[in-house]
Amino acid sequence: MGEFEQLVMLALLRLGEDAYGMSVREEIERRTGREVSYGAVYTTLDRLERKGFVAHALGEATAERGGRAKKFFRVLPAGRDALRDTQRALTVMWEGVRL
Amino acid sequence: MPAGQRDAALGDAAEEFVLRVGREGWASARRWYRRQVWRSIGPAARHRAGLLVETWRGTEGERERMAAWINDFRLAFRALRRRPGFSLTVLVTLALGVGANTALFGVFRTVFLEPVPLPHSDQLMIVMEQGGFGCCGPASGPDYLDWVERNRTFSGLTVLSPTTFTLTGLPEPERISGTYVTGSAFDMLGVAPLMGRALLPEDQDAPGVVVLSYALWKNQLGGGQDVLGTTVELDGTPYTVVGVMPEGFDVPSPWSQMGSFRLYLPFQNEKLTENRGSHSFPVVGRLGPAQTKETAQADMDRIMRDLAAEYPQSNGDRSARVFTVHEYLFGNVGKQLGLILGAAGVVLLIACGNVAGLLLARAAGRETELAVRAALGASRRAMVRLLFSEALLLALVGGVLGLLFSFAAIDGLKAVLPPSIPRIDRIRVDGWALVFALGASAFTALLFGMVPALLASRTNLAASVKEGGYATLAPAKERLRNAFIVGQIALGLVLANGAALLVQSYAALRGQDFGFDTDGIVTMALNPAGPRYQDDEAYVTFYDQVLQRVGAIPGVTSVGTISRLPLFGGMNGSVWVEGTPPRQNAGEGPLVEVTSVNGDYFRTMGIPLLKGRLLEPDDSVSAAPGVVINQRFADVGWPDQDPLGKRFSFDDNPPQWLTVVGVVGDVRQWGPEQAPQAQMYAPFMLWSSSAYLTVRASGDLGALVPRIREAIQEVDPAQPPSDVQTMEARVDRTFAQRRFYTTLIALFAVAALFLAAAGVYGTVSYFVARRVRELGIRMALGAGGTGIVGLVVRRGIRLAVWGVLIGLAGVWASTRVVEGLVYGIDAVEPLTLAGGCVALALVAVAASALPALRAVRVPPVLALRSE
Repeated sequence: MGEFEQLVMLALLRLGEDAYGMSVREEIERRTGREVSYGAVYTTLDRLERKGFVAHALGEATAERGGRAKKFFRVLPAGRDALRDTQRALTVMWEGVRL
Repeated sequence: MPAGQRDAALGDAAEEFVLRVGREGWASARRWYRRQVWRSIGPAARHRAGLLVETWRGTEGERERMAAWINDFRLAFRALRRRPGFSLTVLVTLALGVGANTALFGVFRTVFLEPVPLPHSDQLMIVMEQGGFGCCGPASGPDYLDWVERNRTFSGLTVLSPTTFTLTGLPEPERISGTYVTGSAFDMLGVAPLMGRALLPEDQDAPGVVVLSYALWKNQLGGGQDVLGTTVELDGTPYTVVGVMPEGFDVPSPWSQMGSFRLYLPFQNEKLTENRGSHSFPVVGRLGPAQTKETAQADMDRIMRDLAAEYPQSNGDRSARVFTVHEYLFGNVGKQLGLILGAAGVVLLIACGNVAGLLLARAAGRETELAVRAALGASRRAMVRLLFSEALLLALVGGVLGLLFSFAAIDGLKAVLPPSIPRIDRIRVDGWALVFALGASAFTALLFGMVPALLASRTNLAASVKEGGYATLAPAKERLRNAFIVGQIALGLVLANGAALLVQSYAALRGQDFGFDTDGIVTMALNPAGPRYQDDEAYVTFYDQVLQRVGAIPGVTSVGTISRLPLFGGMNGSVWVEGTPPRQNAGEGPLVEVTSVNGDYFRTMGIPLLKGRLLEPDDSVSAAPGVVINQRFADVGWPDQDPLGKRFSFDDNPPQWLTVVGVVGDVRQWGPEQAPQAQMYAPFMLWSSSAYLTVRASGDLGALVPRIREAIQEVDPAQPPSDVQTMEARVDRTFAQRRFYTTLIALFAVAALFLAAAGVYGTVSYFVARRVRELGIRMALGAGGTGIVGLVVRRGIRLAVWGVLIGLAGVWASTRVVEGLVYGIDAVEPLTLAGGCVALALVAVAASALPALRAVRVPPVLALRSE
């Protein structure tokens, strides 16, 4: 799993019920301090969805969104497993490494 | 953005934008939004490319190749981003080149390539007669009737008689153009009326009905559904509206562009049976099934041969010519636009040459990198792909930028296109232009990318590595680069020579003496018509009063009328000169332009009296009326004799003699390019009741126009003047089209020279830069600066000489194109050509002298250390 994919998955997990494009983007930006584009967020979400790691549900469409519905994402069990595998691999590899 | 996510992403962005406006203010939020859009392009493009590879249904190998291409594109993109100067130069060059070509193609396509907007328009023909006056004039009524009867190739033939009418009964009377057509015309054209009915053959016997064009119905008559059955007043006579034609419909006519007839009236049969010798009706026809223009031409030849045998008097020397409507209406302008497009294409080719040169030089700089790649096992194909993908990427981005540029360029072009070019309002960048832009970009990529890629990939491993980064072009590449430059110079010469010839011929045309003044003269059309004008007397009274009243306006120095203004065509007939043998056939004898003048016409136009006297009121009432002729007629009619007092006639049986009372200077009646014809000026109305008022005045002509208009309306409020223009503007307008294409081609030639100079400069600079060490050694060994400069400049000159030699061959090949477009000079003017060669040689010398001088200024020590 790529680095940005992990960031997105983790953001979804942190946000829980309230995870949609804007909150995910802000969460990553706020915590990592690097500017993130919607293009990057949504292409990653699209890829994760294709892999079966996340799923979405449509929310309400408000006037300030130009009448476009929100898309809430949540992490599927397969996604959790993949994320855990990645974390495990990284932890193992990091053991004893000093930079 | 992935299609499924687009909506949500846009919604999120909108939501956050609103939040940010509240938090940070409008400007900051906008900046943020723009950054978001900009930064999303990359991920979105990569995502799309990734999906393409995933969903590719090809074999494993194909998928691999595809992925390799995408990878190469990614590499190419990074490489180009690392060299913004190089990339920007190439992109701007390509964008301008592709953009200009696309815009011009858009114009060419709409104006020329688009068919005439009528069903199966490729079957529509214009048939003209050819006789003593050359090609091509209208047919006579009886000839037309015989064509209808005897032809075996047309499914329908209609005859036109374009006329201008005064539309009265409105708050302001208005001049509009319309045409009489035979009853079957709309049927033949294949267009049904929008409302009501078309004209029918029966209408020809019972005139009094009219079919309106969509524009007239909508604009002048209010566009109401109840228009059918109402009457419109034309020249004071009421006509019943029986139909309205759909929008965009028009009857093609050889003398007007599509879209100019505002109404259609039924032809009156008696007009068609008049004189076989009087030619005034253009004919439009539709080919029958399985017929072609050629079979129709053969058919018409047969008919005209028969008619010549039957009526030797009138038809002895006449034939007919068949044209497609498209070639007749748009052929000429198509040729000019094609030439401009060709010139733009040449500029694009030259620009491609430059880009190719840049890429070659860049490839040379990467020799070591490529050698390493090859050493690590990259196949030749992989290296070509890598190098070519860079060119392809440049071409694609350049093409897209060019397309964007073409939108702006086409608006600019529309503003400067001369109004005489048809269909201007419909010019746009359409799907075809898009295809053209993409095609042009792909072509340029192949041209400037493929050859350098192929050559550069043929790396000599050992040599490259041994030289340790000392990169020069291998001889084959050097030769190729030189070939590009030679080609550029050659193309530049062809274009520069063509442009110089066009400019010269334009200057020659403008500079020549038309035989009359243009300064301080205002002109307008008068067309008295209606119930008040039943006999000649009424017309004479109208014109006399107009001349009197206009002449009395303060500031007017002289005023006159003429039936046809010089430069704008006329009417003519053959004459029998008294004392010569009687004529066998009506077409024999000198062909003479017939013009009627009134008032002080000659003084107004500054046409000099050479002999005898000008016209006097009595001239029109005598039994052998007095007329003034021009010098050319005097020379043709009475060579070596005094023409004064001599007589001639247009009719034979009995002759109606006209007596020459004066000779005036020649004017160009048929246009700036046509030599003066024999011409006579009669003091009365002959063949035409309409005339142009010519007014010479001191001071502001514009301020005078309303007063002239008033004076005319005082004489008859129902006869407003139309087509008001100064003589200067009219003359200027006749040059508009020529000026337009001359200017454009001259601009392209300048661009071509500039690009060729840049090419030479680039090549020679490169040569110098790569040989700094060699030049340094030479100087350290005592070579003088002059010698070094000479060495470098000689290189430039050698390229120029080759370019000029090949260019001369190109010039020779292009003479046939240029021939038809130049006036007063030959298609090959040795002086112009020599000038062009010298100019190009000078450009080459200058472009190579700059880097040479720079090289000399480098101290030898530095030069030696440069490696």
